[in-house]
Amino acid sequence: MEMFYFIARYFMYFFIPLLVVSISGMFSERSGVIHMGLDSVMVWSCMWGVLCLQWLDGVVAGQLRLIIALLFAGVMGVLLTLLLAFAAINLNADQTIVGMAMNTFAPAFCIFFARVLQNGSEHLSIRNDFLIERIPVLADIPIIGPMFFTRTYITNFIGIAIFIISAIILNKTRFGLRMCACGENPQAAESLGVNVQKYRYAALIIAGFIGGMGGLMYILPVATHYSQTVGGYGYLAMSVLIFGQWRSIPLLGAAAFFAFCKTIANAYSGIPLLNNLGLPAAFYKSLPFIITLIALAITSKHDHAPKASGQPYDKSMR
Amino acid sequence: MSVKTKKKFEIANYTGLLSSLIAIVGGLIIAFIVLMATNPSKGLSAFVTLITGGFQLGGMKNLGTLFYFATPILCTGVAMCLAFQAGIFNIGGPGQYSVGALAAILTSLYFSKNLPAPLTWIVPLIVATFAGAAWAFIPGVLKAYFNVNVVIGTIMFNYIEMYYMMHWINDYCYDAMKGQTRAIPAQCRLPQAFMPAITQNKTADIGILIAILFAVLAWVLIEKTKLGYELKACGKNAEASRYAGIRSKRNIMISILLSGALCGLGGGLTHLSASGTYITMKEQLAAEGFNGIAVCCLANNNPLGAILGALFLAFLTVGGNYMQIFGFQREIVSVITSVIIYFAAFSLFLKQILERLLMKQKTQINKVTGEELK
Repeated sequence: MEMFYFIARYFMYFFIPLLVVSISGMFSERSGVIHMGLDSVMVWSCMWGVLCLQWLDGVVAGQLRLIIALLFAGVMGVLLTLLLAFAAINLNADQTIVGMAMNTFAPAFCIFFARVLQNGSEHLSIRNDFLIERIPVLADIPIIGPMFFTRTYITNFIGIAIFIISAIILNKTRFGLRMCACGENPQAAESLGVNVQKYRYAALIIAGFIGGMGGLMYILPVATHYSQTVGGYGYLAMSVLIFGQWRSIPLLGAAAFFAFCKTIANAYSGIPLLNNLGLPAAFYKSLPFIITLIALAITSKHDHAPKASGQPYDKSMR
Repeated sequence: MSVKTKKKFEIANYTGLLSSLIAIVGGLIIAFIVLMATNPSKGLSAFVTLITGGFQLGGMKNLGTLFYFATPILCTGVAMCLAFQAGIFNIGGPGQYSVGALAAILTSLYFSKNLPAPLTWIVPLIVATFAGAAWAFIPGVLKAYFNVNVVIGTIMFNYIEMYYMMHWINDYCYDAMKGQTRAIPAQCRLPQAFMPAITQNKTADIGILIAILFAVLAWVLIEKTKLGYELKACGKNAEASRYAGIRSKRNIMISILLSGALCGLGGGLTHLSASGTYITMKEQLAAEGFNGIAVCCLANNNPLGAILGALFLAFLTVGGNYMQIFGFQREIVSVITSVIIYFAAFSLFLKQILERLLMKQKTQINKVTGEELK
């Protein structure tokens, strides 16, 4: 049973960032802008988040330090995403190529910056004192208590909150529905008085903020130092988005599925059944990526991608 | 803009060249700002080193280094061009490149070293080419027949390669003392021919010549053959070309296989090079694959332009390495590369604006001549 709880906690470490970052991608793509640079936003804002944690060390205590760092990472995520917004919305750029440019930029710049900052070493250390051993009352609930409310992080709950709020915004509010209209048929939206450019900017700012927080959420439970990589998580989040068909609830399922694969990939040596199969470590590590492809092959025939996603908005077209 | 400068853009290609130049200048300006911001006292001299490619420090010997860096990114750059022409964004370069590299190493270690003279290095190159194509095969099938986003497909294969690479190296060609792949036999390395004499660099080889040859072949394929025409038609409008009787699925497969093959060749050329290159045991994607995208963007998807693009980026890389003398990290080259790609993303927009200005002028001329005829 202890093993089961361990896997459940491990699962949450992968599930939450994947969910959060794919929500970031969902905001962007539902408004009509393909966001290939999710990985770069994670790498970039993760660095700023970690730096913020270092700056605040000793100044602010406890969970507040984490929350400030998360907000800071979010703001830096917005800054990077504005590069995409400007190119995609104002300059009719090829959004995929902009994303690739961001993905080239972020790791290179972060290595450069970290080395300049520390005179040579690119690894930024993280002092992590944010683990919550047990949450009073809730931890006593049988099964669920040990699974989700012991040895947990505050980011897990923030992640779930982001999911709920974003689902409500996208599906129930005027703002969200108009934003989605910009991704489906921007000309029609414009004819009804929706300012497509403004809505796309708003969507990308939200996407940047969420994606930036996702970067820090990823690194916190799984690493003791930051080394300019998030293990391809941004790309995985993009696949989650496609697998989840750009819709909130399926997205939750897709993220859970991938997080499960990732958990197996990382924890297989501790599970006797899997360890005895004698398959190479490379197999388990590449498992999430292989399964992604299989899942996409099955689901991609009928895709519900936002129809205007990736196309620069041209007012004169109909 | 004055009428005089407008006339210069009458040939459409000029606008393409101009947008590349804008991208390069943009990249260099950002680099300059970053360098000056990090260390104002040494920033300028570091920048000068960067844009002179370190030639005033290293001399002519750098030409060999430049060719060495240009060879793989020329291959991957041309590969990207081929895929782009058919509307495919092949980000699988790193995976295909590394698989090609490993295939070349394994072939030379286990098989081709006992063959007669020129085959010792030709066979590994051919195997590398096929290996690269093989690594592109499944993403191609997924794209053509299952409608899986090719960007996602190729990226996933990059990561699968990254993890399996460790496994394969460890099992078949690991040099535990040095923590890298075993050295390949001397007779399997690329011939040096006259290259050391030209470049005054003892380790220069004919790799760059082979890469240029394939760039020219790719250009011929795209511009002068029926297949190339079909590929371009698919890239411009897949539906319309299907309507015109072009088999778009087949063309997707051909373009991505050729693209993968060229990436594999790049890996082979680099790791069979006379200077001796090894794959280290590190979980990372080969940067050469991604830099191909920058080369392709600089070249406006033209394989011949890719030759210039690759030489330029290699030039910056050499300069970036020398910049370390001033205490700057060479990652600045990747920052420049990214800015170039960024600018290239909306070069089409810049091009359209330029062409629109040009069209305006032309219609004005036509109006005048029309009135004269009346």
